[in-house]
Amino acid sequence: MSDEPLDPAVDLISALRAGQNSSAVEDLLKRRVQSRLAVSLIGLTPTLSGTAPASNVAKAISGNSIAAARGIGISKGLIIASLAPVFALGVFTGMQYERAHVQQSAYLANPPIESVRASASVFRVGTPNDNGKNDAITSPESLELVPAARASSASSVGTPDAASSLAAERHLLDEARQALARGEPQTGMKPLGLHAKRFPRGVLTEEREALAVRLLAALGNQTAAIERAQRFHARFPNSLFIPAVDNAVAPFSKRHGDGEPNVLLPPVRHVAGASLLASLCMTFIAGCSAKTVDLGVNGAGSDPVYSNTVSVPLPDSGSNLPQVPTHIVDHGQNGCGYGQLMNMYTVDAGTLYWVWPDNDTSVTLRRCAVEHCADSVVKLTTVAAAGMACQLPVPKNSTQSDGDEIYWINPVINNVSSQVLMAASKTVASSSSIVWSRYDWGQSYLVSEGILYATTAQNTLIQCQASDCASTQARYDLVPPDDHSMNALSIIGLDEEYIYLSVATGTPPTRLLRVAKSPHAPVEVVLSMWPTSASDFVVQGDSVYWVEAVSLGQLLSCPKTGCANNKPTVLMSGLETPTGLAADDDNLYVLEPPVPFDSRPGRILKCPQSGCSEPTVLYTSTNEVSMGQLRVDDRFVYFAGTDCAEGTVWASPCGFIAAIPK
Amino acid sequence: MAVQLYGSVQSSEALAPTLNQEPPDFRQLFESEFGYVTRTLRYLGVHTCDLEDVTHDVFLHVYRHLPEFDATRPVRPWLFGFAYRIARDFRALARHKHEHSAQSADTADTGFGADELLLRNESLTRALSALDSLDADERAVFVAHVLDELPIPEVAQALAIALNTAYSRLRRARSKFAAAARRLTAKENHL
Repeated sequence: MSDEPLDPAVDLISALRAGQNSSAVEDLLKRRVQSRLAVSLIGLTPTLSGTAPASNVAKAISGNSIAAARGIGISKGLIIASLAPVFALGVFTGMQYERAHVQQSAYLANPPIESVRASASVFRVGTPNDNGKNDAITSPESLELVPAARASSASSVGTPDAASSLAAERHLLDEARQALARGEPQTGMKPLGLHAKRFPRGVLTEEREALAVRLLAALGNQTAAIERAQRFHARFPNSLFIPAVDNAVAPFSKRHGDGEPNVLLPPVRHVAGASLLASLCMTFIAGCSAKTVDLGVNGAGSDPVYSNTVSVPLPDSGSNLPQVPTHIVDHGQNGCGYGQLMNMYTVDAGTLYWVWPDNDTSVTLRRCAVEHCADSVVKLTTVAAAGMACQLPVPKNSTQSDGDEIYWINPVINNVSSQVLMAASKTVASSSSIVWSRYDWGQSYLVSEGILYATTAQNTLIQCQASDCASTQARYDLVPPDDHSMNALSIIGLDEEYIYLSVATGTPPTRLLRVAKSPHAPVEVVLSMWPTSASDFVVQGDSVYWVEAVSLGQLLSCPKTGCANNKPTVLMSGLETPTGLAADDDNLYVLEPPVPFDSRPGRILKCPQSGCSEPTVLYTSTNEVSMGQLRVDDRFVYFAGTDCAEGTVWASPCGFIAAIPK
Repeated sequence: MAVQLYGSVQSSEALAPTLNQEPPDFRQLFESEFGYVTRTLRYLGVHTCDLEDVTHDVFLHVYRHLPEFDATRPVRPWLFGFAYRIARDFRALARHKHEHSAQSADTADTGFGADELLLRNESLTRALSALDSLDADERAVFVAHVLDELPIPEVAQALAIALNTAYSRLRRARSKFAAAARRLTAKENHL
């Protein structure tokens, strides 16, 4: 029984439970942690001079943070030594208070594990005065963040071995930060550039990118700052530095409406760029003048956007051409932003379909045969948008093909409920909207044989006839109603009998589910649970595959019937933040996107479905700034991307869809 | 008080769902659960000298993920998930292994002063030594269930493991802990 008196384990359990009582020493530790949090959560804000974000963060800790800051003078050694009797172990032996860096490795909440590194680091609070005592700190705003003594010398910067690379990284970022604090942001760009060059995959990459946004904003480079801030959000969606990043670009933003989040203003566009386009065409593109056939509802045979397109013939995959991607289509400057292209194309039966925002007020669906896009592009339809078409990203697989229809989530928003699922004929100029409010419905859908399967923001599965979803839909709750995680449910694949979904709520582990397609009471089967975040899935053959980008960098699989012991099979490890996955009958294709403006290239890898220790590298990117969703057919692997030069993102025809022979 | 070594005494403080559906205020959470987090980390094997750093890391992650917290659920299993993973990953870093080994040598050389030695809780020392006999996964289940009194289903959820796995680890942990306790007690009596 539980309380056997003679069991010595009982005494030890009692001792451990008694040790859970609080102590005065613990309060000291609490104050120290509190003071560090007060600094860390502020992120990169160098001074807390009353700015709103700083105040907000300070409030998170607030109150005792002042006392905590004062307590910073208490030596860590004293505290640890004091804790020793409490925990009955450990002796503090000369540990320095100031550490060069505290790397916060990857942890995730329950259970997602993220590989997010936050630099908490090298800050002291307050400045010692001549008497060696801290100056009085009278408010959270008076906390001064001062870079601590360098752990590395200048010479160590050039020797990025395992021991010194972190210090060297820190040194470069400190230089940039200090330049910013001095009001010399231009000076700060150089060490940041050095950091990006020397440590493209450094542990302080997140910090560098946040700092870059602030420097660009300080330089008044609105376009680049917003662009980089957007990239930062995409790359580090949960970063501690997001408040600092947003604060940096706040002067460039406007309030979109009462009660709605701030929306970044679209970057300044360079409308007059014909000469640039012409020079690009003359320089490296054959077949600049793609013939456009306009079937659009706005008719008149003109296609001002795509008439500026450059494209080239697609190589024959059977030839001995080098493994370089061919741009099937490029977009001219009239397009309103390259990012939307990433998830807004699909390939079906050798035909490419893609949706491209023309401007803030319309989007257009086009198609071309993948091998003849240089010769003929068909403009299928143009759909009016009420505004901000360029601003709202769309989820993966947002464009899909089924039967005679193309479906896409329209990247249109003029209020929080206006993004809709569209359907258009592949052959004639027509389109219709399916009732879909992005903020009611979720961000995933699949269409098969005229049946639409979609998820809602409230984690409900919707099944309906795509042609008449409003009156035919059935809804199924697959997540406990008491779980308030929004958009936790995603459809990842279909087969003849089942719908496959992932569930990533805040508390339980990410789950892989399948439910019967039958409209009658789908049965949930838990296929797998794993403590990580998946970035892309594919259902192929007898298995479900996914890539885990956040911390593990693995390609994983699980039989459709369920993993043994809920443990997926690891097919490939060591991936660098894979974000895309595609499959054919034999192989899997993984996308490792490049790090924007860094020297780290992107890659497309090929691995047999049985797994591989060394994948085949199909492609290593050269000047692509970004690479998006992967698609595959029987001959090619497709990806969307951009190769915009920094600072000319909005002026260049730099969005493309490319193909590479398998 | 009777100690339930092999059972679960549900702590109303830890398990009672809050009536407030909003995520808890971070500061309140910090104030109320700081002790729980530090002690959990300590029992999960985080060295005393690393406690400040790791606790800091835990609350950073808690802060970031607070909006994801389901306020209808008890907070401690959620916190335990952070503590477990951060402690695990922290220990896994080679530089921390190195630091600890170096510090162990220093400890042997330095030792406590007489007054400090008097303050040492020998039972607690033995208890921590017994915990050290468990591997990390077993230790996590043992700490969560036996010491923190979290129900096994909550533990399994917090650790992202199957329920049966949690029970299996608990069974092994109990056995190892009991064996270590007997061994350490016998050694103490012999001395």
